[in-house]
Amino acid sequence: MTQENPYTIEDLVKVHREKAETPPLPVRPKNTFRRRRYVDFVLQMRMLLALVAMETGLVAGGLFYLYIRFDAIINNSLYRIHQRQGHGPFLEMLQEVGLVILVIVVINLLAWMFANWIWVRFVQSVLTPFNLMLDRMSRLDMQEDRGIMPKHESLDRMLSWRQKERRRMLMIKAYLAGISLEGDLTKADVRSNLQNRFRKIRRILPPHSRRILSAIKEFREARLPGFDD
Amino acid sequence: MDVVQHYALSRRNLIPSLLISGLILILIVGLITSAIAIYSTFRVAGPLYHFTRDLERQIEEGPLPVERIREGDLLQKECFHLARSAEHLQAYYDAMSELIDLAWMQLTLQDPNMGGGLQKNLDRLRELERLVRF
Repeated sequence: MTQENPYTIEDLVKVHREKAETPPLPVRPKNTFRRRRYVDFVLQMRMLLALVAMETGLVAGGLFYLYIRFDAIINNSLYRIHQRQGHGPFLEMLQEVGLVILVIVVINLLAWMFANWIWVRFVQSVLTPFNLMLDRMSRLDMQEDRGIMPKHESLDRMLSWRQKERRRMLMIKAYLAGISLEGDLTKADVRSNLQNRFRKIRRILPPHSRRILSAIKEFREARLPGFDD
Repeated sequence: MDVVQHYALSRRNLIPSLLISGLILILIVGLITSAIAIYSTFRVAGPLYHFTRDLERQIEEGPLPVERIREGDLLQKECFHLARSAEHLQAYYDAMSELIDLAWMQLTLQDPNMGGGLQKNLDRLRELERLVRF
């Protein structure tokens, strides 16, 4: 039967928050200068080029259609003797322009919906594993991340970060497993040996957060030589 | 007769006028499309770039507080999530460092395990270590 662990990550965070004294980070204002960044240069550029090409094609096609229709309307008007009231060539041309605009708007809407669908799918394929790995990190779940494709730089860095922390935690585990209090602890060499082991773990651990730094300062002031060697 | 002349003139000028208006239209539509496409994708691209740089800092310098992203940007939830993960990690390492420091200090005493103090400390360290799932 495993013994219940008195620690929880939530408790540790609570203690950390009480002592950290870290001021909240300022939110970046909305209208600061933004440099051009791409999530996926190839995808974004392809989508952009496809949209511009589509618009060009639509406008060119629309104008060609209008040319044919306008030409026909003018031809008809040239040889028409009696003009019906409210049915002049201008009105007919206007109707044709309206039709072309309507078709262009409908095709544009469909294209935007399709582009948005592609874009959302791509972003989701990056964010889903990103959130999954963050969630695991929060729970100190350092199991290997299998089957995650680094589709974006952020995913690649996230995988590297988790691998680095996993290695660190595995080393701590191994060093801790090697520490035993058997032996005469009143003997200086036994104590020194143990101190060395603790020091090794200490070196693996990352730098202290702010609250610990003040504790270390006090520690140094108490003149305990050799700790930070 | 005037009407016929006007129609003939309109017909002659139809191609150049359509071509000019077409070119202007293509230019305007192209610019608007590019602007909309770039603006809508950059609200995601910016935060993702920010996360990438932040993760690089986490890899180089250990758990650090995460800088927030712009107010109007998307992915605010992910930014909070990242900050929370870094904080959890820092809290864990801080707790461990504290116990290691205490153990080291206990070992400077003549009888480090007086009252089972050092053993208790070591047990706590192992309990902390058990929080991690491998």
